[in-house]
Amino acid sequence: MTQPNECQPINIIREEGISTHFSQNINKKVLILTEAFPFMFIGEIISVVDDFVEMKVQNTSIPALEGKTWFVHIDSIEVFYIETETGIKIPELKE
Amino acid sequence: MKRHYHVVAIPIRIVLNTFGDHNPNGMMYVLKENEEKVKRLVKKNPFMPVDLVQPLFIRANEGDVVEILFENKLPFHAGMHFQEAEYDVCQSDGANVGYNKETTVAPCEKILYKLHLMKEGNYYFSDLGNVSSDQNGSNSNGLVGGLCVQSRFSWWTDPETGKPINSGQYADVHHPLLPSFREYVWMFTDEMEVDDLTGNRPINHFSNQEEESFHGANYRYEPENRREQLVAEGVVCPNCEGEEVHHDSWVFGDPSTPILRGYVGDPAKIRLFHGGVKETHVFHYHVHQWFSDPSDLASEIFDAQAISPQSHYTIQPLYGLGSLQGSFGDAVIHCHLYPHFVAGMWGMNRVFNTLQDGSQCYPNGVPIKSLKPLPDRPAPPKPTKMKPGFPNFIPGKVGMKAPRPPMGIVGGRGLTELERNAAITNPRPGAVFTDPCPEGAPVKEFNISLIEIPLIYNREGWHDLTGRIFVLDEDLEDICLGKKAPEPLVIHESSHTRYQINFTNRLPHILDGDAFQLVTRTYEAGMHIHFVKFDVLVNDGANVGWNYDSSVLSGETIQYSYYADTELKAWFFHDHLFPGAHQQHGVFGTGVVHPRFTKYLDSTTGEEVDQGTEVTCVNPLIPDYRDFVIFAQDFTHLVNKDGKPLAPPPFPGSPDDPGLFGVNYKNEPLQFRLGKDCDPAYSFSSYVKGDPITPIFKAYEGDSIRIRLLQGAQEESHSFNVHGLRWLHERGDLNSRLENQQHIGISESFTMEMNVPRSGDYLWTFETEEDLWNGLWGLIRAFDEKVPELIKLPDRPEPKERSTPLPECTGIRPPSAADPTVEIVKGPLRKYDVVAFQTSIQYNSFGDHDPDAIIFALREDMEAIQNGEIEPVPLILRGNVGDTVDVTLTSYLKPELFPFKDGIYPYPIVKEQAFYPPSLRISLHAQLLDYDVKTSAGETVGFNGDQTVGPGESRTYRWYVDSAVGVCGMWDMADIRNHRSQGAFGAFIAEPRGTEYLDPYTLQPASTGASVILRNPYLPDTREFVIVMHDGVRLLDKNNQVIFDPVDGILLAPPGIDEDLLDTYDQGSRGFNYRSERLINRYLEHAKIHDLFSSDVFGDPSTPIFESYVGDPVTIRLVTPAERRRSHTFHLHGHRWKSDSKNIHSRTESNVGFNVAGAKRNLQLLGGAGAYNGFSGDFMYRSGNIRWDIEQGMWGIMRVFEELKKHLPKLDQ
Amino acid sequence: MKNNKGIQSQDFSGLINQEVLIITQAVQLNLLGQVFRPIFCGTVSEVGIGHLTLTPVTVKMVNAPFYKFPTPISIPLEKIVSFSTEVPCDLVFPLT
Repeated sequence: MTQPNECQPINIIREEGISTHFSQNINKKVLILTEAFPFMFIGEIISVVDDFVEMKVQNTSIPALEGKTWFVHIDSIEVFYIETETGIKIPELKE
Repeated sequence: MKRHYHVVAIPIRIVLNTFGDHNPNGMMYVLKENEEKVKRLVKKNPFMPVDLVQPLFIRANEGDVVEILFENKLPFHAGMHFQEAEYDVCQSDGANVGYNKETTVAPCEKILYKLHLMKEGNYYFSDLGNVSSDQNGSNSNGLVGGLCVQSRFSWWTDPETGKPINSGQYADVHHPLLPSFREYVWMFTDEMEVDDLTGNRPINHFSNQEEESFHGANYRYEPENRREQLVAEGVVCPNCEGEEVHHDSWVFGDPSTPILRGYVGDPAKIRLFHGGVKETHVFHYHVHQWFSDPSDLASEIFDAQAISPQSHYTIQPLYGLGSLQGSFGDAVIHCHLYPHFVAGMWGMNRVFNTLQDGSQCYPNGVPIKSLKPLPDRPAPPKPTKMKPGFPNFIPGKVGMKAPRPPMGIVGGRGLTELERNAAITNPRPGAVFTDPCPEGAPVKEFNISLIEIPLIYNREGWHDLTGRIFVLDEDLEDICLGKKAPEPLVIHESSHTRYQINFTNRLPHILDGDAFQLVTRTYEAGMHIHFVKFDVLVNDGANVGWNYDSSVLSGETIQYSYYADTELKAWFFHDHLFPGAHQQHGVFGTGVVHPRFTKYLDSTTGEEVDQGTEVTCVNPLIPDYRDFVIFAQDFTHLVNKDGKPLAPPPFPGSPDDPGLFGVNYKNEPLQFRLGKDCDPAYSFSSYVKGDPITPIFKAYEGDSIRIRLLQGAQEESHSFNVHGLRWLHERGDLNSRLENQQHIGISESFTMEMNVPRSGDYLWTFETEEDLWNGLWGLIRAFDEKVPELIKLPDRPEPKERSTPLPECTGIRPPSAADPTVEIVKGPLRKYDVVAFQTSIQYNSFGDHDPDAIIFALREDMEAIQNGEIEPVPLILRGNVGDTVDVTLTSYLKPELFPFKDGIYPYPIVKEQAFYPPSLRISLHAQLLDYDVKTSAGETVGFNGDQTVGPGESRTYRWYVDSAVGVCGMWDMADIRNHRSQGAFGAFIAEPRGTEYLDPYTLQPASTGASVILRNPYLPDTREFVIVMHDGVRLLDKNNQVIFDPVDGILLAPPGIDEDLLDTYDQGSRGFNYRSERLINRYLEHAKIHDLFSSDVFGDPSTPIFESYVGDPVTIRLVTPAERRRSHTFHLHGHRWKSDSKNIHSRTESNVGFNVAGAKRNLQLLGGAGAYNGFSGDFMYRSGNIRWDIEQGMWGIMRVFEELKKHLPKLDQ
Repeated sequence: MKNNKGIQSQDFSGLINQEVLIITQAVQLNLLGQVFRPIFCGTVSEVGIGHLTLTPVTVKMVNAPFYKFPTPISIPLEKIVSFSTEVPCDLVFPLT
């Protein structure tokens, strides 16, 4: 885990912190909203590559983009929720 | 996901209300599973409404493929045509168009339609097997419906039982991630055939004449006439008149029309469809506001929204039911066009504040049906004896008028115990059960009275003897003594204001009778408000449902309390008790809610003011601006100076378009603008007849201005245009397109914000022929140098001292405008040599023609057109961003070729026909481009110089293409009676920089034409199709007899059809690009109505066939340069576009409403030709108005090929 | 430096269990077609180095201003434009 370091600007620390948070939650289900199209991703975190999260996407707003692996730039994530074992489930989306 | 519905079209008796008014020849779509049940129930209840008899509303989710098995049990071919959906046009169009396979079905047969639902939203469907506009047609008889497409993963339940449902107007829609919401479907329907209990046309008990035609929602209407009869016959409400209790449930119980039920704060969507055939309605919903585009949070906020036939919106009330303030009670929903409202086009949104589990009753003993709380929201409290909830704490008496509100009326009553229990902690007059105002909001008090006073509309002495207007009490004396000119009351305040209004009703009890209306006892009045936040129960200024009657009797004062939460537009106010009787006399006003911290100054003296239609606004943070308010009016009851009624209706009290028009209680008819030489070309010139009496708003060059556009009365659409200026269509969204035109219906409110770039006189108009003729125009005058009557904006530089005297009226023709071409051009210069001349135009292959047309053309084409080698088409010019365009116009008009030299144009007519001889001068005005109005507006306006040309004369206009605005209308402004509807119009298209225009068949550079390929090194090759929609055309048939369209074009018309059913502005023929494929011509050759669009039977129509290949990028440029006031809807089958091509956030749609003079839109087809799914075939483009457009020839074909054709080169991608 | 809201340089853990209203950068967000401004109000349940989590959380949708979102929402601190602990989550205010 990245520790605050006086040599690093706080913005870098926070960005790294969030990448670390994603990398600590590999195999968990995540919901991500981005301002950019297609606005929503729901799926499983596969890995974190630098500041990209690799995920197997179950749902987006566009059916044709689903069931695929996507790399989402972590710095572009507006809000998210990672399902933890004790926590609340991301609702199942059924057609 | 795949969904399947089995839909049957059946004949059905539609009972429209509990008075037994019914359509014996109704038709409806119904789910197969309900077919027998609905037939059985209707048989059992021949004079009572049956719930299942409603337009078919079905649901699906975005991304679904929906299969509809359609079964036809009607005695003619019928089908289902779906808007918004993508589908194989040869399999699922529900029509028989061009060379497609027929997809309507014969009686007793079935067909399977397959629809791809690409996007959440409203999908309208209707029949195209029988497009007759007459009573034998299918659409006006009810063959319409709606498919409501929800977000993916949604499901829906019955709001009463909580169980899943397959169809119906009410549903609760649920979602795993999104809030549950109440879904209400509201479908306007109009012009349906109605019989009363006796089987005859209903008679209006007041006028003893036939009732106004049907206007309702979801196959129901609740006419004032019917309810008023119960009053007149002494059954209910002694001493009441009628209109003031029209919506009062205390008197009559609830109406038969839709009541949309929910709890305070419930999220809701109203799926609004226009299933009618003719009128553009205005949907108004009390208490609530919504975004004009729910997918764009920067879009404008509306609380009244016009809607044209076969178009639709989703209304998503902000903050849920009851709005920000959480108001509960009955909020009326209605068409704001008063004759329609009075006819019965209304219902309500009932917002409960206690749980309804089916155990409660309304005050009249009718059980309140249970209503499940939305599952993701806390349930409201259960009713108790001490807190029974709305409406059971209100101390009314059934059969009597609703009680007056507690506290509000000066000298009135306090609270009962039950009211006290229901009230907020610190109730005050106007805010008893909800407080809309946060603590500490600054309070502004206005004392407003409603008075009767004669209003003089123009210098010829046209006047309204019983003008009724709102005034501030401090101005009462000055206005009554004639010291202050009456104008619509406009009060100014900034946002975050608590308004305290002391409203006094100073009207006489009686509105006198005359040629226009019968004596009416208008004994009470209120002040109903739009946009601001308020407690609907006590402060609506209305009398609705189980609410209080928040009006007062003559001589009484009531206190109202509102809150302006944010900067709003101009909030409309008017009386809601007798608006049908007297709003057209001037009973309207507005409050403008400015940005916080603004001050308002008198534009002449600089003194601080709080009212006025023209003020100067000063703000410490944002640029100072001039604020101008314009109210349009129709149904204006005027008499001339001798007392002769002007354009009176057929009988007093008739809703048949009585009277004339006004703007801010004034008009300047063109018939009085002729000078000594009687040349219409100078009608707008101030040199000849002086300035108009209508508003001339003042500014200095460079000032920023805001125009507040409203319509105060009464029924019709108007098209506001400003020549030479432009604004962002969605004011809050910088991605929005530029506009210089706005359609408006009564109660709508628009703010246009812009800058006046140069000095000069800018013409504003209500552009349609009859409006303009009758005086709906004025000026914005931008001064170059200082004038004593106008202070400068404090944050702008001091204007220069006056160096030249201001021009004055000379009574003679204006001096010629300066030559704009003397200035040196920077960048590319494009030149067009344009001629105007008379010619004959063949509108179709059946011999319908206009022998007296006037057209614009390139000089190089003139001879070929005159020789008949080239068929005349509207002139289409193009230019690229960065271009300077010099258009030289030469007139070849010949006096002997004008058909009506006596100066009266006989058909189509306008109200108050008068001598107006054809002008031999002509001009070319263009929209949206940048030019100096003093030289290049293509019109002679105010004290600008003459810009028209006489026979043999030439003049060059200089236009700058500074923005890729796409299509702009072009038309003549020298003679709006004798030139424009005759063909003197065209279009200019502003394209991106570096674009070349190629002929689609030869690939050679094209200088004009409605179909070109746009080639640009940075953009895909795109096919551009220009569709010029126009009406008001005077055509002759092959025997040279005048065609009296629309009547002559009605299919299946009974003999002796009533020509009175026409409004003046419906007169004339119509079509696209000087062509009209009138169906009656086809029908006379082959009398099968479902085949009339078929090219297999008739060959292709004469309207343009636009050709492309599947997937080709296509931009349609839709423009309406002319002419009449009836607005048309445009629809293209099987395709959609962004409602604003500049704004990716804007909603997608497959129709464009409000096509009236000045309207224009750029439609980039999503997915290109054939849409995302790449379907080929013949896609019909057409009007959405069954009455009276489609029959009358407003349709054509966009042909999409799958395989390469020899004659049509493919695009280079 | 510590302020009286419990915010310390580089550390938001002082916000834990406090109700906070947070606005982030996007012009609008889009959940299956429903658009809304990124305005969130809820109780801070977790603070990481780069994010914090609100549980439960209200999403201020214009048509449903008190919509309880079905899951907690985590917000990257770098996306936060502004926040306040003095706006209670049940406060009614204009969203237009």
